[in-house]
Amino acid sequence: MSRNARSRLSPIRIARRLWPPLFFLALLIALWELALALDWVAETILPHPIDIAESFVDLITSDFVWDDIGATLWETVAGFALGSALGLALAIPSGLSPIMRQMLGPYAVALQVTPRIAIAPLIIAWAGFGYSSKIWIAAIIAFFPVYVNALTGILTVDEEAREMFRSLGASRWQTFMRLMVPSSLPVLFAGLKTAAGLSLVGAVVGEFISAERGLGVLVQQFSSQLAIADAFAVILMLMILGLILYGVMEWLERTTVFWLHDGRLAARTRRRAARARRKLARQDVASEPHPTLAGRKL
Amino acid sequence: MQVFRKRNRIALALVAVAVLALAACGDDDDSGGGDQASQGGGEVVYALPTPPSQLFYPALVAEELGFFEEENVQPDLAPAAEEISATAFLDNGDADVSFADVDEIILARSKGGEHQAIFSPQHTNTAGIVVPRNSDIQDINGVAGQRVGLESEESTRFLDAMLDAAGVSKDDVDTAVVGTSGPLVAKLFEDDEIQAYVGNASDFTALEANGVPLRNITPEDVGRIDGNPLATLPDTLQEKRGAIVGFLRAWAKAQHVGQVNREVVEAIVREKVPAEWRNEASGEAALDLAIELMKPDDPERIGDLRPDVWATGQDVLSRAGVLEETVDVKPALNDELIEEINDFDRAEVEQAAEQWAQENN
Amino acid sequence: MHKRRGALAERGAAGAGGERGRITVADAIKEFEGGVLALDRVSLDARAGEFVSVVGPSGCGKSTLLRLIAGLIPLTAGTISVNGVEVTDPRQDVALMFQRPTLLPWRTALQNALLPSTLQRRADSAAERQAYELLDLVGLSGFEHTYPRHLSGGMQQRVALARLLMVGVEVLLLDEPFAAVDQLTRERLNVELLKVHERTSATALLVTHNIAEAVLLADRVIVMTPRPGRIADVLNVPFERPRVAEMAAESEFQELVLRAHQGLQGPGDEDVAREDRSVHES
Repeated sequence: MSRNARSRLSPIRIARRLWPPLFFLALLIALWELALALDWVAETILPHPIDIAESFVDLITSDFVWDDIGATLWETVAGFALGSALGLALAIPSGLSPIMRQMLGPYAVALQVTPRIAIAPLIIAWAGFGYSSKIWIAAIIAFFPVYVNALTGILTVDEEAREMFRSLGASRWQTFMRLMVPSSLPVLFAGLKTAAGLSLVGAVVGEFISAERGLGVLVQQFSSQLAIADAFAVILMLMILGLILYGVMEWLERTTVFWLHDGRLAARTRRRAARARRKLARQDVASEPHPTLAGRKL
Repeated sequence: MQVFRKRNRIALALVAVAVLALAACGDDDDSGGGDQASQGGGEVVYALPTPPSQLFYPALVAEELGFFEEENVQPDLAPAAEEISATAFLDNGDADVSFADVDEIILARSKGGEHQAIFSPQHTNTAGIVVPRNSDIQDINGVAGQRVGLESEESTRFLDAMLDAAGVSKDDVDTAVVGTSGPLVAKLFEDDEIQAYVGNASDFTALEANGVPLRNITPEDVGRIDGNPLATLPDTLQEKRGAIVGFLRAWAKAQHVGQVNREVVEAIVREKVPAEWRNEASGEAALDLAIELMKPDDPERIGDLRPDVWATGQDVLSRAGVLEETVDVKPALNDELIEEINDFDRAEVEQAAEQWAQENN
Repeated sequence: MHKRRGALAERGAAGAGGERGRITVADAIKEFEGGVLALDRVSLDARAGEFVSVVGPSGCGKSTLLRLIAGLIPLTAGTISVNGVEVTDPRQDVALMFQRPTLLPWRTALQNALLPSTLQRRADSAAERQAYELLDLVGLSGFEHTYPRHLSGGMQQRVALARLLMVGVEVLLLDEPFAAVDQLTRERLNVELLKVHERTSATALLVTHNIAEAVLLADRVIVMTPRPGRIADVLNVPFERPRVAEMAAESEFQELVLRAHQGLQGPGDEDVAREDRSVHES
């Protein structure tokens, strides 16, 4: 590992990063206990944090909960993939053709503003039981942010860059692949991050309505038995799942949209320079950098 | 060049997404949808209003004790939900048989459907109205001038019918939809925000098991209405008669086991639906309820259809103003299968349960 | 739109001999939608290897003129030809440089310089070597693998300059390329540009606000009037090449600058930039 990478993971740095949110968490828990102690809220509605923690550990170490976690995770990921694919598939023609945009635009908006809870039963009736219906609900919720952001990305490509491509004689395909696509990625990823979280919501909503297993089903089952600490523990699991998904998307963004992150750029520069040096050494190319102009930043 | 590599990466990502998307479209977990008319296996797709639960313990017990296998039936569960009409699943072929509400079936018929009830395992109603045990209200009449919490909007017509029968005016009663959240209902009772609650037997037992003693003031004739009769369409019945009878016989066997050997059923459901046993008291109460609900009026005729009870059920509906005209209940009930279904050796079944208990202890 | 190969073939066929590197604008008129008359009968001739500067107040249409020559916008009336071929669309025998470098942020300096070759699918090791050389020429050796985000404005423009030269054509069109950098950097970049012009002997048309810059760099300075744009004056710049910054101190230089200023004030009735017209006395 290079020195930079090592220092990024040093215990001091990690600690410095973690203590603010941990402090806030401690504050929250203190408030929580206070509320319970002063009877502002009943224990049957809001259990003690320690009870929730106990339930959480107990459930995590049990066998059966992992089937449910797997089910919800699958529905979320598949729904996200499907919704994103559809969003992209419709955004690209809409971005490239005003007619398509006018055709599809109103329907995308209509889909977005229709309360999904209302159409969820219809989707279930159509898609049948099994994972498909939950995946479709998650997909429908994930669709809009991806569609809108991809479309915005395509439509707001730098005019001058476009002109430059035109002046260099680039074909439509080249302009699309080499300019529009990379240029849209930052905005697109913002949409994908939103959609990832929403997909989880969609999957759980679908489970609430009809499912055999899943974290949403568990919440309901625990709730109806008044095993409230367990229900909260499952909600905690959902939260963690959401955070993990978000984290994955963030990582993906940092890797793909590398040009917005200084650290990444510097790393890439180093790598390329090293590679080029090796290549030069092998090829024994004669051109040498001009001694008086090398490395001067103006 | 590096750019080329990046382009490949993007293409690969898109392909992966597309594959995933296709997988989602074509995917079904083990409970697939509506595969009718499979000759070879005696497959039966049945719809329940809940995910696998001890409330419908016969499904779980029959599976575990091998009754379905004995009858050469492959049952396929399609978990429906309260919001979705159970008869709709029959209509679009997603299920062969479906556990539905009495009023759902009658309504479907009044609209011209051919749905029939062929088996009714619960001879007690799962819906009802309760008050706290320390309340002054002794029966449905006492609800006048009070506030009633409702499980859902649909419960309104149920309440209206009961009030009507008792001669209490709807206007004398204040209602509010409060949902099924146990803690919330408990709190509302405690704070005297509501004086009665219309809901589900499962919710009542959960509340009681968690320290909220209740009194059930559901009128008796309403309380006798079948909880979840099993409906099907005549065409399906004809096509899959053998498989359906086998399915229901296996069910009846398991139902019987529950009536005579609680321990075995408890052991089985603890394993199959551990999520329902997180709270011991709730779990016990729920199992007791399930068994109680499935106690047949006549032990030799498990799942029997009782026309008088159904006539009451229809009464309730028309009083609530949901039914425009009454239909003849007789055609809605098809009890030709009941004898076949009950044609099994009770002692043998009990012994199978005992054997399982020994093997699994 | 011309296919790339077609334009090149045409260039090969028609642009033989004396037409190479020539820019000819004949009675160009440009009216935009809404009735805005940007250019009112402008004519000019640039010989091969000549460096022509165009100065004028804001809105005089000089950028429009450049864009017309580049083929980026259509002409309302008149004709323009480059390398002997009439301009109807953007062409590959003309290289452009604008005020903003417009580098692609996801490509290194080297990759950006190589963009023209990449788009024409000629990005082989020979092209790469050439890109290295050009980056060296504009003073960026050591920064080939740096990304635009880590390059200053001046450095980015240098990359744009290198990109310009990669196209390897005889006609360079520059629209206020150094307007966005500070004075010091601008002077340095002008030096680079001079060097480049000497090395490549391309025909250059530079649009600028800065009269001193225009005089320093050019063989001829064309002064335009405010909208609608016409040519008010044409100045010959007789200084020797290679030019050096110190020339700006000489009195002859200052007089040219003064004259250019005067030209900016007065509207001309007709354009005077045709090559065959007699040259004005200073």
